[in-house]
Amino acid sequence: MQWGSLVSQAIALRLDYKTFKLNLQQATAITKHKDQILSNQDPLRFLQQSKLNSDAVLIGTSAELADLLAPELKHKIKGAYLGVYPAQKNNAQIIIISGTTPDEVTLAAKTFAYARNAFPDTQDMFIKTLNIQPYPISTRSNIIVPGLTYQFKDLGFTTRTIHPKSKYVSLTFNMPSDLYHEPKSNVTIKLALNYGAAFRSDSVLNIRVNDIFEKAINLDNEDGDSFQAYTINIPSSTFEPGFNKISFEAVMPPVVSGDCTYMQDKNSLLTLFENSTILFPELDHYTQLPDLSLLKRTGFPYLSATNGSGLGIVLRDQNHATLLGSWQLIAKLSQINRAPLPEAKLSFKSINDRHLFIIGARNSLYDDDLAHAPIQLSENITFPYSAGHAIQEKHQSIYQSLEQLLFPESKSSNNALLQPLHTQINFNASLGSQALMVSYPSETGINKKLNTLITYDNPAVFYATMYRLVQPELWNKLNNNIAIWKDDAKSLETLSAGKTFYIGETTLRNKLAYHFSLHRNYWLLIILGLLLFVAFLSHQALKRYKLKYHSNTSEYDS
Amino acid sequence: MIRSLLLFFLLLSACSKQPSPAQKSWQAFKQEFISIEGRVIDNGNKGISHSEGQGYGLLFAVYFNDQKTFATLWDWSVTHLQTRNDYLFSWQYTPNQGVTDVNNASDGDILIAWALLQAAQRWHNSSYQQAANNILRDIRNKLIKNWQGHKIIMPAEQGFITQPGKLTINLSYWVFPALQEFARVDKSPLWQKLINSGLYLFNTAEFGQWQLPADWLQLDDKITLSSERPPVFGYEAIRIPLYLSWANLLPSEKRKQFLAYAQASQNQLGYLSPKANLLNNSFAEYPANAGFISTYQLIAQKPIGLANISQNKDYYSHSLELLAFIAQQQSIAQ
Repeated sequence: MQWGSLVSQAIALRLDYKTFKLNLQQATAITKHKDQILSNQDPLRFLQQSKLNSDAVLIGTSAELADLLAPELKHKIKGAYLGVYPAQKNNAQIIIISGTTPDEVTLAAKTFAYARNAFPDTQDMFIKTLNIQPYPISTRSNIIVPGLTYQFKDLGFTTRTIHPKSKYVSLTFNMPSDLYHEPKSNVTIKLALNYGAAFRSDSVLNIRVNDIFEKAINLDNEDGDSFQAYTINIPSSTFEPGFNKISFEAVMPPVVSGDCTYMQDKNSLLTLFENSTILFPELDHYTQLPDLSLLKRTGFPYLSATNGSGLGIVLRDQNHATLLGSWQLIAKLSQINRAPLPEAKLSFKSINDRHLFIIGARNSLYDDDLAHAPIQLSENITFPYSAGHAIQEKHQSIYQSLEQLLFPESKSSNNALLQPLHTQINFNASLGSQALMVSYPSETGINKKLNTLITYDNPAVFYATMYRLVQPELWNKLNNNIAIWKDDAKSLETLSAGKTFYIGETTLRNKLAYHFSLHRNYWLLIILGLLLFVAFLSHQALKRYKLKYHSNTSEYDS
Repeated sequence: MIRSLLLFFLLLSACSKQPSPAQKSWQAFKQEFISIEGRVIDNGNKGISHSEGQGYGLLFAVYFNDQKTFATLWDWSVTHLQTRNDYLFSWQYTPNQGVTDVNNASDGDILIAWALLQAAQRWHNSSYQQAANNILRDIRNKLIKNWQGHKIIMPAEQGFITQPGKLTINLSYWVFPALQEFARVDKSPLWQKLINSGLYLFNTAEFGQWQLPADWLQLDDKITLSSERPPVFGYEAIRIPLYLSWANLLPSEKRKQFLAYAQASQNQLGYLSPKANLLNNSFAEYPANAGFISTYQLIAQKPIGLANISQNKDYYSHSLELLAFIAQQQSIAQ
C-alpha cells in the first residue's frame, strides 16, 4: 500500500497539475512457449504484457519479480533499483522499482518520488542513499509568514514596465490556510513605481486581488511621477487561503485622441519595481472546520505538515476500488503540496492522532467512523436534506439592553446570521453510482481532529467517481462539508450540516474577547463585582485615614 | 548470643523471601507453559499457541506484578498474532508454521485488552492504554451483532452465522469482569449492554436436569443448544460462573444450581465430573482436573487450595486454577 502511494505521488508530481488514471494489475509471467522466447533479447520477455496498454510500474522485491524478469535483469538488482524499459506495444514504458528487501524497494520508490529532475540517461539506476531535506513542518517557501515584510522579488516578481500591449503584471503568493482575520487587519503594500508623462488625467493603475477590483491609483501628474513607497492597504480578509494573485493594470489613454488623428502611446509607460514591499499582518492561526473549500485550495488541515505527518488514510475494506481511490487521493494531495508526503500513513487499521480520510464501501464502515458525523450510514441512511436558511434569532443580552437604555442613540451590532436548516430523512436505499464525502470532528473532546469519510455502495464505479472528483471541474467546486457526486462533471452537490470546531491557537487577548462575546453577562457581573470590591477597599482606606488624621472632625462639618 | 541473633535474622530474612503458594504457581506456569520468546504453549493441544493463552498469560503477569514477562508476552503477541488488517489477533499459531488461522477468537481479544488496561494502570504505561483502546474499538465495530434487541459477542469476525439470523455463540466469551472494566474506561454504552445481554442469556439458557449453561448456544428465534457442537456443560462453560463470580454477578440461586450438580456427581461417581450431557444428563467417565475443581471452590465460596505443581502439568487446568484464585482475591477486594 505504501509503495502504491509513493508511486502515485511520483507520477502526480511529474505531471504537475494534470490528472491521470490508475490501474492495478497482478503481474503475471508467461508460462506457455517459454522456450521460444528464451533467445529473445528483451529483458522483460517473460512478463505477460498483452493487457498492458499504457505506461506501467512494476514494483516488488527481486524475489517477487523473479519469474517476470530475464536473468540478465534479475542479476542487476542487488540493492535499491530503478529501471526503465520499453513495453512491447503502444510506445509505452515500464518502470521497474525493486530491491532485494522490502526496505530497499521502499527506498527506490521514495527516490522515484523525490527525483524531480532528469534521471540519468541510462536504463538502470542503483540507489545508495536518500537524504530528505527536513522540510519545516508547517511552512513552505511559497507560503507567506504573517508578520513579515516581503519584497516583491522575494515572491518571484521582477521589475517590469507596463505598456498598452502588456495589459497587466501580477504578484502571486500563497497565504496560510488557517488565518483568523481580525476586522481591522490590513495587508500593507508599498509600491515603488514610476510612470510616464502626458497621459490623460483619468489614467489609473488598477489593483485587483484575485481578479476582483480593490483599489485604483490615479496617475494624474501630467509630468509623470515617481514613488518609493506609495502605500495602499487592503483588508487581509480579502485574500484567500492558498493561492492569491495581485494584478496591476495600468490604464493610460493618451491626451490626444480622436478620429483620423495620429495617436502615439510610447509615453504610456509605468514601471513597477521589484523592491516594492508587501507586509502581511500578524494574525492568529485559528480557523473553523470542517470546510471542504480549504481542502480544495490548500489541502488543509491534511497538509498542515508538509511531510504528510498529519495525514492518515484508513481503508476499511480491501477492494481494489478503495485502494486505487486512496492512491488517487494522495496523488492529488501531493500535487497540492508540490512535494511528496513520505510521512503520510495509509493503513487498514485505525490510525490515532492524525487528521484522517476514511475510505471504504458503506457496508465495511465502523459504527465509530460516523459517531460524530451529521450523516448515518448503517443499514438505513439518515441524511440532512437542505431546507434553506433562516435568520438566527438574536437574543438581546442584559448588556445590550442596558446599553440601549443608557445610550438610546447607539446601535449595537445586529448583523444577520444565516443558519442553514435541514430536514433529517431516514431511509433505506443504496447510494447507487454516487460517492459521498463528509467531513466532521473526530471526537467531542479537546483533541479534535478532522475526519473526512468517503464511501460508496458500488465498487465497480467507485474508482471512476474518485477520478472524476480530482478533476479540476469537480475539485474546484468543493465547498461546505458534505459532497455527493458521481462520474459526471455536473453532478457535484455540496451542503453544510453538523458540528463545527476551531483549530489552531489564538492569543489570550482574542480568547478572552471571544469568551466575553459569548458570556457577556458573566463578565459584566465579574466587572461589577470588582468595582464594588475596589469601592469597598477605597471606603475602608478613607475611613482609616479619617480616623488617623481627622478623628475629631465630624463628617458633617462644613 | 550473637550467633543466635544472627541465625534469627537469617531465618527472618529467609521467611520474608519465601514465595507464596500463588507466586510459586505462577513461577511454575511460566516455566512449564511460557517459552523464552513469550509464547504461551497449550500442551494439551499439540503445543500450539492461541490468543486466549496469550490473554491468560498477560492477566497473570499483571496480577503478579511481573512487568518483564508481561512485556515479553505482549511483544510476541504483537509480532506473531496481531498481523491482521486490524488490531484484533489471529487466534491460532502453530510452531514451525506460524499463524494457521487468521480468524480472531473474541475471548482472546477481550482478555488481551483487559490485561493491557490493567497493565497501563498498574505500571503507568500509556502505550498499553493506547493498544487497549485500539483493540476495544475493533471489538466494538467488528465483533458485535444484534439479536432480538440484545447485543451479542460473536465468537469471531468470520463464521458462526449458519444462516441469516442464526448465530452460534459461546457464553464463556462474555468475560464479565473485563466488560465491567471496559464500561468504566471506555465511554461507549455498548459494554453495559453486553453485560446485560450476557446476564439475560445466562438466566434464560438453562438446560438439563441441573439447569446448567451450555458450552455452545444457537440463537435464532429462540435460544437452543448448538446443533453443530456437543450439547454439554463442560470445560468451556465452567468459565461462565468463574467470570460471573469474579464480577460479583453470580446470584445465589444459580450458585446453588452449580453446587447441586457437583453434589449429584459426587454422590453418583465419587468425584466431580467435568462434563454433563445436557440432553441425557450423563456424566463424564473421568474426574475433573485441578483447575475445574478450583473453579468449583470459587463458586462454593471456599478458599482455593492451589494444587501441587507436579499435579498440574496441563496448561488449561493450570490456567483455570490461577484464574479462579485471582478471581477470588479480586472479588473479595471489591
